[in-house]
Amino acid sequence: MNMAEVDKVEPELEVRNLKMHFPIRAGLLKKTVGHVFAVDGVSFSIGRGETLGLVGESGCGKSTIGRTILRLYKPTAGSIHVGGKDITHLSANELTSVRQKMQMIFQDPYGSLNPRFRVSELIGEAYRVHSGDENWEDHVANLLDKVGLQPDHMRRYAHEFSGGQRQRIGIARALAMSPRLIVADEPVSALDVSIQAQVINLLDSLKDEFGFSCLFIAHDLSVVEHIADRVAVMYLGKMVELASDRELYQDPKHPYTQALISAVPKPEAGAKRRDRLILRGDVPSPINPPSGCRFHTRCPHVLDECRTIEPNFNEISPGHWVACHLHSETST
Amino acid sequence: MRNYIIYKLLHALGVAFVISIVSFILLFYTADPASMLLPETADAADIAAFEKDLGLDQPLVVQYGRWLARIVFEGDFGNSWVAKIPASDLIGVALWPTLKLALIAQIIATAVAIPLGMLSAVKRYSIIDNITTFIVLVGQAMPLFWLGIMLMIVFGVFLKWLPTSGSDTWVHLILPSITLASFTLPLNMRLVRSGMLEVLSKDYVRTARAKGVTRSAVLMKHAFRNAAIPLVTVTGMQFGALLGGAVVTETVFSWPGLGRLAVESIQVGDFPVVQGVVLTLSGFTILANLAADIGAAWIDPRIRFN
Amino acid sequence: MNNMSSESKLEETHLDYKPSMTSIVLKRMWQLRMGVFGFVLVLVLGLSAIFASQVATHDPLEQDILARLTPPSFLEGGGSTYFLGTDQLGRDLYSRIIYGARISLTIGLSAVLVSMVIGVLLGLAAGYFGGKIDAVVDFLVNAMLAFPFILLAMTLVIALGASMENIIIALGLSNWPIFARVTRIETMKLREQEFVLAAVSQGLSHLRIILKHILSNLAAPLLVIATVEIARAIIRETFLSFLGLGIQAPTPSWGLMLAEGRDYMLTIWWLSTLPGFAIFLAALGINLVGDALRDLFDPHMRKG
Repeated sequence: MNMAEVDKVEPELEVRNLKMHFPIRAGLLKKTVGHVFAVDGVSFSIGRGETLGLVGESGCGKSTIGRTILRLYKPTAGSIHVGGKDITHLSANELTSVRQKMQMIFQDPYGSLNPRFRVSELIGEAYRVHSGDENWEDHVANLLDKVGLQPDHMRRYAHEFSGGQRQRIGIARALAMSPRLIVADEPVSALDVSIQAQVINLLDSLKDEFGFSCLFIAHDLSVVEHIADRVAVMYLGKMVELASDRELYQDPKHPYTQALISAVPKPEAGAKRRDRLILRGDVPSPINPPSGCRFHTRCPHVLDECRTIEPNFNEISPGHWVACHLHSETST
Repeated sequence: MRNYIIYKLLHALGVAFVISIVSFILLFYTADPASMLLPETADAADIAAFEKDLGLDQPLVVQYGRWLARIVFEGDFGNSWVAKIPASDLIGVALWPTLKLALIAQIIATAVAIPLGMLSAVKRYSIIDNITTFIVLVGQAMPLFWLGIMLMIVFGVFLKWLPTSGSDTWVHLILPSITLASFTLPLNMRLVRSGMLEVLSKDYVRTARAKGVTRSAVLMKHAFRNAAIPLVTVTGMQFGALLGGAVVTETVFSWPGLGRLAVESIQVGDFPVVQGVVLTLSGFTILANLAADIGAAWIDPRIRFN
Repeated sequence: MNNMSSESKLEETHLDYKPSMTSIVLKRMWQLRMGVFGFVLVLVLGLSAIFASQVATHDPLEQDILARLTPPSFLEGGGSTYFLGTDQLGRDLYSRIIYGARISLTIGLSAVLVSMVIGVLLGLAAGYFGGKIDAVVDFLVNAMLAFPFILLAMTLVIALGASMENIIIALGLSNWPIFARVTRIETMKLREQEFVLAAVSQGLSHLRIILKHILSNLAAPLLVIATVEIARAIIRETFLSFLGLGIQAPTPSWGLMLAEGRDYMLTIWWLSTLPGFAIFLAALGINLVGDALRDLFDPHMRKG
């Protein structure tokens, strides 16, 4: 999908200025003594059939975004639109129908599958409940086949499978209700490296076959490189760069993105040896984020204004967004 | 720490309050003062006048309030309907024997549990370990009053070594306290043993041993202290169960304590005494829990900041 | 950590002597044997209760005054008619003990059922929904646990009147906090698991999540606790009967028989001892089965 096509069709997912702050309670009366600013004003959209990679280090808020989009949390501020419908303030009842169309693939293959359920129930429970289809097991068998498992494994329990296989079960579960949007929350981070590629390839082919949009969350740029159409980078609750896959890797603008990319090993023989950009300083805490640009404490190109003024998230070239004073024409 | 104590105090007060309500309501509906205190020849009019006199025609809440106020401010539980003297007198007389029994029993239980528990943790699969396991198993299944009766039969009747009732000398204390001790012994032993096992397998103990610290030094310093924490908490929490066990033990051995008083009063329907005993026993349980909570938080600072 | 299995690690790190393979094997066999022994006891208990009329030799209520206070057949003076002798009214002790099993088991199971229904429901609500419900339930549980159980049960029986149904109600109402507390804690832990989150994200109702996802994982710990509580309920019922607050004569309750036999303790000691022994065996068997269940479900919970 190129950029022009994306603009014409209504986006599958649109997130505007999303904020998710978690209160910290302490003391006898559980008073609120502070907040974790997990997500602090993030806007983006995902088109039909498009895959957006969302990358950042631990604590940057990427998982929180995924869960908030699925309304597992109620957003502190901002809005979420799925298929054109505003789901930000819907009640649990109202969400039931919407939820069938957006599904999640979880990171932990061990905690995300109920140990007491058979595989058939794990995958097909929601489908059976919502559709009332008597032949739901056929549907499950079909899904198992699509994710590369034997259909007669339906009778087994989750603990009889390896980590990679469990993730396939999780993928089958996500596909069971033919969703339009899938949020994959670090789906391969808990797997061995050799299995990671298999699962990513599986997702890639399923994406083409089923045509769902995907928000692929990862902490490692190399993981999303292959599967994502566009990639977004997050830091400490804010989105710092968003561009097409190719453009981000070839021409990263934000210093943080540059540092992340320089850390990706490039196994090409004879490739120019890039200098590793090593960031100094510790990662600040999302409870007390730095003033101005959140990255300024570790940025190798920090300017004076970075310390006090937060940069806007601007489109500096078609389809390429950055939040950085080095690249904005409008800094007061 | 101070906040924690205040929180726990308030909590304890709340619990006491709820218990007072529950016991008031329960006993209110089971008590029948008219039939107990009025002569048989009383007719409906007499009964009505009697009830008005006692204030029994007032709304429930008012009666509760007056009852509570009398207890809190004057320590007056009313008069025993059977003995016609203040219930608090009867309770006061019975209090010390029960406390004595409970204390001695708990001391015995702890004194046996700690060495046995520690030894069986240190020397797993040995004879000691098997004996301990056996005691735990048997002790948990043992009906307390059957044990009491059996001990009475064996030591009091067949062997004639020990007296089986009364409370005059310290000798009389032996059988009841051993019986009651067997009630809490199994749990204590298990706790000590599992606490020790857990600590002994921790890496920092292995490190200390590898450095050459002798076994007993390691044991006393590190292991015991950590194993002691759950023991302290549970002892406090167990106090309620201990008092329950005291009720049974006192009944079997005719020990003149609160337990026997409670049972007899319930059997004859002596409402004020029953209430008084229930409140007293609950009060002690709450105090013991409080002491255990605070003690545990003092030993292990992590507990204070939940 | 290191590569040894967690179990052997726990066993061997702190010992400075190596327990012989024999003694380890012996202890494991002993544990297994105990489980089997417990199972056998419980089986005997259950079968006696169900097939009492076939197993007993006499009608438990039938009196034979001429034969009163006969010793058991293995003591001197005992005959062969009455296997364990007779009580003060000439009733066969053996048959009364057999029928007593039925009473004890019925009461034990029913009382625990009552406690479980109340306790699990409250614990689920508190653990899953949290907030005010949790605060109230938690407080109630702590309050009730501070109350001396025996007295609560006794007062309830007095209030309701002494009968088998009322004893079940009294015991059941007094013991629900144990189940509530455990259910609440486990529910709170389970609620944080990702598979619950997954169920929520799939639009499944709270009711379904609680009943199917959470309850299914609670079954194992609840079962273990239930067995212990059944044994305790049996013992408590016998105590209530012993005090005259339980089953009324002439129904053969073990506790009642203990009480009746107490007056004859000096000479006719078997009247109290044998029923008490039955209580002990029943409780022991149930506890052993409970231990075996616990080991089965989660070997890591084993307390050495």
